[in-house]
Amino acid sequence: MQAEDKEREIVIAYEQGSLVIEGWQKADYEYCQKVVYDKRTLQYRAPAYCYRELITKLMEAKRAFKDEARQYESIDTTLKSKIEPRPHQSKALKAWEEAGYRGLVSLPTGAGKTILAVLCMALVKRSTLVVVPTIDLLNQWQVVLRKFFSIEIGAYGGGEKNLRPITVATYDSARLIIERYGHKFGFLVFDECHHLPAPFYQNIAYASLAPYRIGLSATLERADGGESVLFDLLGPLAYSGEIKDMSHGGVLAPYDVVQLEIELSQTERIHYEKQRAVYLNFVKRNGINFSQADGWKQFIIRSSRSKEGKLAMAAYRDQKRLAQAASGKLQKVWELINAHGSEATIIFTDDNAMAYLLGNAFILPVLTHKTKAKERKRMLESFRSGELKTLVTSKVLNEGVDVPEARVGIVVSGSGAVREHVQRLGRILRHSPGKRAVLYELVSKNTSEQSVNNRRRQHSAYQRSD
Amino acid sequence: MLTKDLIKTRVRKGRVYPDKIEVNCLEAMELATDMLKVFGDAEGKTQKEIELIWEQSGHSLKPWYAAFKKLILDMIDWQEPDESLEAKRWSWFKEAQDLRSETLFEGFEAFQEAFAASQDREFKDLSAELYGDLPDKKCVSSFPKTSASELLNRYNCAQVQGLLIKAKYMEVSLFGASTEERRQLFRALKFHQLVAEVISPMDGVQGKLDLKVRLSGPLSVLESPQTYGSRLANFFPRILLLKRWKFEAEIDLSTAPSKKGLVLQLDEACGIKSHYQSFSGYIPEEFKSFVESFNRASDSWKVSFADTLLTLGKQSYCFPDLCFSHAQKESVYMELFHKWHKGQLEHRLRTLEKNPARNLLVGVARNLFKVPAVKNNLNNSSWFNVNGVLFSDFPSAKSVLTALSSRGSI
Repeated sequence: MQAEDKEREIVIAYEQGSLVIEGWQKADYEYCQKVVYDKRTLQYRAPAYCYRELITKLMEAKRAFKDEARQYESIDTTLKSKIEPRPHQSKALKAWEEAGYRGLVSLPTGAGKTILAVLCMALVKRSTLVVVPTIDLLNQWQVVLRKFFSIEIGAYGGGEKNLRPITVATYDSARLIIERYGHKFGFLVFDECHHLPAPFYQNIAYASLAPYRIGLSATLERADGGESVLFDLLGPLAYSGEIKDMSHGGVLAPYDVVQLEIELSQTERIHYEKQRAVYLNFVKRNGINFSQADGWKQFIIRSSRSKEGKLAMAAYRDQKRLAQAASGKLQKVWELINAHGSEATIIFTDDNAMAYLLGNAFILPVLTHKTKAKERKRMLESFRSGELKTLVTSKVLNEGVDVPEARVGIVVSGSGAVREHVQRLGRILRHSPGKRAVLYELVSKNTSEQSVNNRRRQHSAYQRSD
Repeated sequence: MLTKDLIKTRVRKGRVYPDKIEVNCLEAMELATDMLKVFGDAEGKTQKEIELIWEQSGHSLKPWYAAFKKLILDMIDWQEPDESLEAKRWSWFKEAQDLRSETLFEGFEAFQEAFAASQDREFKDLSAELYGDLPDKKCVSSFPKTSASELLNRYNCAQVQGLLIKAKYMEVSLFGASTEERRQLFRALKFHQLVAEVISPMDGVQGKLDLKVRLSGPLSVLESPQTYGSRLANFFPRILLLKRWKFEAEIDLSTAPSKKGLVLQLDEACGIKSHYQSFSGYIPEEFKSFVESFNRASDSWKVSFADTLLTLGKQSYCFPDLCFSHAQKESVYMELFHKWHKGQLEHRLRTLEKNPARNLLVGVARNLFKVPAVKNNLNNSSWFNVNGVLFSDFPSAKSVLTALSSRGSI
């Protein structure tokens, strides 16, 4: 480095998700490799997430620079009430600190990820954006943050647009505002961070300059290998706790998983076999192999090209619906909600149609993405308070929502995804003295649903807990 | 716009061709006409009822049905549901829960019978009403008058937009575009938050290429996960409003990042009509009267409508409204900011403070100046103190002449 270069000041500003850098020269690439020259605007530009690396290296090299990018504040995060972290939370916090106040923490549902994030916020003391997947989680985070911090908690999502030094936003809202406010937060908390690698969400972490970051999830693995994006944008895996260890250690409630086989009625069976044959014949004739990675994609493409294909797709949907919504399941759900009448019970379905079928048949509250935000809040509050004993939902409660009182889960139908079932199990595992949770899985006998169910049961969470 | 499953394309030799219905396609016109017929008497009907009418007419097996359905349903205004239903629903939840805990029913049918009796209603009616305020049970309030050919145009436009969602960038060329057309284009770019790189400058020769711009977003220059496809797709109907144009876009239909994109090319010969409102060719009355009065009042300076793109650097460009020319001096341009331009004015001031433009005046409406933050910014701007003009409805010839003379010799 030449002496005259050292005197030349670098000026860093934030512009729509990027850092624009004045005074940058060839020799400066040692501070950040990701800077590029933007010939459209005649400026040097770098992704905002490189801010930490760039500033740290400039400071280490004692290189003169002016930081016009940073707009985040130091805030008072003194806790209103003391938190006594559980051992696994202390370990996770320490690991995250040692990783440089960035990285991923994997903990099962009910192990206190929100409280861990509150402890991190108290430590970092910087304006913070918490990103969550659903409106229900947004409401829940706000309640927790208000409990522990004295400052106003902002929200973006579900009709709210209130930016504050601590703001909770849904992934969908965060991706829309990040290029405008990506310089206003020093700390990013991604709840259920396995969503972040989706192409339309990655930019939330990419376009923010926040030097401090944490990603929280019970299920970090992604079928598409997207974890590498998490490592790049949020940092390394700092801590991981297993669901089995937590239930043995008294962090989560012990639980049973009970599979109940349901017979199709005679009419349903005839219809099911007929439709399945139409679907499978098409698959066979077209040489579609579902064990190949693009098998399903091939089925979609080929079925859209002919009348026969369209009938095959309709038959596929029909046989799936028959298995998932067998009339015997309605009867079994009725028996189970009566058997557990006084216990808080969540009923999960794969789609809204089945959820509303159950709601209409038994006059039960149904919470789906179609439920208005205000009524969703009321349903969850009433369920938590014990005013409502049973709640039917399709997928919106799969993740994160804290319903500590729930002891019984009934999975009427679901996908083959292990993540979905681990998350659903997590809804009923919050620990309370003397609690033993039970998850019922209703599976139509001798249908494709049975093999799907067997496949996902390979996960360690399905091993009986004692 | 249409969802991914409704986009139809052909790929050949590295190029992608969107599906297009010719306006003389009888089958499509008949389907569109029949599907739109339902709106002669649709008020009060639910989405489900409308779909049932279509299905009973045998439309659902026809090609384009699903796409037309989506486009039509998106155009409907729905009635707000009955708000008292929520309260009724909650009282039913509690009564049904109490009934279940108090009585051991033999089966759920017995429960349904008992509950219906307690409400003095048929269970099926009560059950149908329980979630009667869900979005798909909302009733039609109104539907904009739409012809079959307009629906076909929407379909064609949506097919292109569906591809542009996956676009990495787009290059638009204009030929013989009027000043107003170019102005509209650049205003639309601003509105859609796109960044334009001017590849070929305007030479103003009628019939020849006079502007070629490459459109993308701020982060496009980096290896960013952010794409600007949805902005480009929303921008596309603006291009259709121009008279002579051509565009080329790189479309990435593959999930493999390494695979080369496909080329989508289109020009005005595609014949697709925009459903966006056109302001092209419209010159507001106050502009016309200002030009007349200014040219009367000044011998040395003459004003005309500006047709030049000014690059201000730092990712900023400006399409000024007016151009003041002088026999011995460099032309000076003027950009006007009205009350609804607050954000743009703030951005402009930031740019001009860092990179002062030598040949630009800025006019700011007084009702915008009244906004405290704007007033504060303008009062503290050394650039604006020299180059700014305040106006009520439109700048006066006198105030502009004063500003031009106070700039001294350029």
